[in-house]
Amino acid sequence: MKPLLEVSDLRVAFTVRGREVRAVNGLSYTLAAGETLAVLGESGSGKSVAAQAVMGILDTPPARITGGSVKLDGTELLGLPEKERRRVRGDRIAMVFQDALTALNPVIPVGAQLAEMYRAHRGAGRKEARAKAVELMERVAIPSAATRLGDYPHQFSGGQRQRIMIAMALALEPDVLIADEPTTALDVTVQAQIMRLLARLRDELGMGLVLITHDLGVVAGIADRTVVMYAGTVAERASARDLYARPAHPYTVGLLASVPRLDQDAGRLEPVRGTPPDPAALPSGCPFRPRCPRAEAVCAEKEPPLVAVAPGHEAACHFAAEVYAGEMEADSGR
Amino acid sequence: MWRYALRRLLQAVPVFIGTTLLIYLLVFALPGDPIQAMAGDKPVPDTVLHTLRERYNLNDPLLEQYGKYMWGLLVHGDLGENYDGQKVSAMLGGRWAVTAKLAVTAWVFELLLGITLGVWAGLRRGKLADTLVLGGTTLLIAVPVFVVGYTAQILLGVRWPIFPSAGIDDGWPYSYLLPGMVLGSFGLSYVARLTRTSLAENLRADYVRTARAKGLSRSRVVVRHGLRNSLIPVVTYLGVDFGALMGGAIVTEGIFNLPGVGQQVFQSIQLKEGPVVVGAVTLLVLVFILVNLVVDLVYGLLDPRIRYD
Repeated sequence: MKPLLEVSDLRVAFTVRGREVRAVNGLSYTLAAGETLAVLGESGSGKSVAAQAVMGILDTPPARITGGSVKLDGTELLGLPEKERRRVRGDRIAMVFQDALTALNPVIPVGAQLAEMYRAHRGAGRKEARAKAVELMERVAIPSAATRLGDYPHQFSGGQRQRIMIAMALALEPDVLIADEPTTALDVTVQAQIMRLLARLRDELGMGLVLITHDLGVVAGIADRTVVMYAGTVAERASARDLYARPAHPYTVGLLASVPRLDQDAGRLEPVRGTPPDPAALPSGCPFRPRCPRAEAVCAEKEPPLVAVAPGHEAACHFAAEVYAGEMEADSGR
Repeated sequence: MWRYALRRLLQAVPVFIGTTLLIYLLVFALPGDPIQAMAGDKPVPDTVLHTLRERYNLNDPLLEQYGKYMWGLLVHGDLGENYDGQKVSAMLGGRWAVTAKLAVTAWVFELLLGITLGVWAGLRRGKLADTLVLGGTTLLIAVPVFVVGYTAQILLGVRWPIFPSAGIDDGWPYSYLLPGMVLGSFGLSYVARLTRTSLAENLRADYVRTARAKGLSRSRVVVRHGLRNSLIPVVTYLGVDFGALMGGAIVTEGIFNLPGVGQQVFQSIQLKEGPVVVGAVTLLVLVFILVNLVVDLVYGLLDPRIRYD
C-alpha cells in the first residue's frame, strides 16, 4: 500500500549563538490512512521539532531543515512555496498541541477561532462558518455548543479546551493529524477520554494519526506502530505490540523498566540513568552510549545502523539481536 | 461593567479631594502676599488690602479657604475669581480648546506612528529596521523637549517652512501639526518600543504557533493573533499619557506660542494667581481620572480574562 505520509531522513538543525545544534538527525517513518503511529521519546529527543518541520511551522531562522524529505500522497512538501504549503497546513495536515490553554488564543472567542478555519481556507461566510463551528463543537461533545460559541478559552475546563483544540484541527477533515503530547496537561481520567475521542475521530474520518508522546501508557491503547526517538534519531521501530513484548534497543528496555506494570511485581522501578545528551555536543558513535548499561568499545567508534531483528522490527544498536533475545531482561534482574 | 464604572467613579472621589487639597496647599503656601504681588513694588493701602483679603477669603484658615473653594466648585460649578476680578472659567475657557487640540494631535500622532513603527521593528527583530527604530526612539527620549521643539521649529518652520512656525492662525489641524509632533515625540518613542517588545514576545506565543498551524496568512497571524494581545500594555500607556499630554504642554506651548492652559498656568504661578492655578489643575485631575477609567474599561474589550467585579 502506498503510504499517505512519508518522512525520510529528515534533518533539522538550529543555529544557537553561532553553534549548530542538530535537533533531528535522520528521522524516517511512514503513515497509512487510518493508522496510528506513536513517536516516543523524552524531552529534547527532537520529536516535537520533527513534527513542526513536517507541519512547516518551524521558525526559520533559527531552525533550518538540512535534509530529507516529507511527502504527502507522493507530493514533496519541503521546498514547496509558502503559499502552497499554507494551503496544506490545517487543511490536509493538522496539528493538536500540548497545552490548549496557551495554544488557543486567550482573547478570541472559541467560536471565532473555529470558524476561522472555514473562512480562511474555504472562503465561507460568517453565518456558514458559525454553523460549522457549532457542528464541530458538538462533534467533540461540548455541551450546549451553540450558546458557548462566544465563550473564551479560559471559560472552559482543561478537557473541554483540548476537545476544542482537536475540533479545530479536524475542522477541514485533514488526511493526517499530528497530536503533540495531546494529554500531557490533563488529569488521568480526562486523558483517557481524549485518547478515546482521538481514536473515534481517526476511525470516522479515516485519517492517519501521528501521536507524539513520552508516555508509554498512552501509546499502548491506541498505536499500531511506534518509533522510539533518541537524540534526534530513530532508536527503535516496531509494532506497538512487539515493542512492549520484546524491545531490541537498550534505551527502550530502560524506558519500559521505568514504567510501573500491574502484571508483574517489578520491585523498585529502574529509571534510565543519566540525562539526554546535549544536542550541540553529541557523543561519538552511538548517542545513547554514555547511559547504556550494555555499551562496549565498538559503541564509541561506530554509530549503529538500524538493523532488523524481526520483520517490521528494527533497532539502532550494535547488540540489537542480543537485546531482542532477552539478554537485557536478565541483566536488569526482572 | 456599569457597576464597575460606578465603583471606580466613587473611588475617584478621595483621589480628587486628595489631589486638589495638595495643590491648594502648595499654591497658597507660596511665600509672599498675592494682593501685594499684583501691585509690585508700590505700597497697597491698608483698606484696599483688607477689603481684597476679605473678598478672597484670604484671612480664613487655609482649610476653610479650601472648603469654600470646593463648595463653590462642586455646588455651583464655579472655579472662582482671580484677584484681578476676572472669572477663572473665562480666563481658561478658550485656552482649554487650544490645549485639547494640541493634546489630541500629539496623541493621534503617538498612536498611529508609534504602533506602526513598533510593528515594523517587532517583525524585523535584529534587522536594520529594528535598529533604526530603537536608535531613533532612544534619541527622542534622551533629548529634552525644548531642544526637539526649537530644532523642529527652526528646521521645519523657518528654514524649510513646511509647517507654520508659531501661533494658531492657521487653525486646526495645520497649526497644531508641528507642536503636536514635538509634544508627542516622547510618547511616540515609548509606544513604538512597547509595541515592538510586546509584539515580538507575543509572536513566540503558543497560540501564534497554532494560528500558523491553521494555515492562516501571515498578515492574519500577525494582526489578529499577534498584535491584538500586544496592544494591552500600549493602551495602558496611551491612556495615562493622554492626561500627561494635557498637562505637560507648558514648554511646547511656550515654544510655539500657543495660547493654551499650560501657558496660562505658567504665567499664573509667576504672578501668584492661586485661583487660576488651582482651577486649571483641578480640571486636569478630572480629565486624568476620567481617561484612566476609560482605559480600564477598554481593557475588558481587549482582554476578556479581565473581569469587572
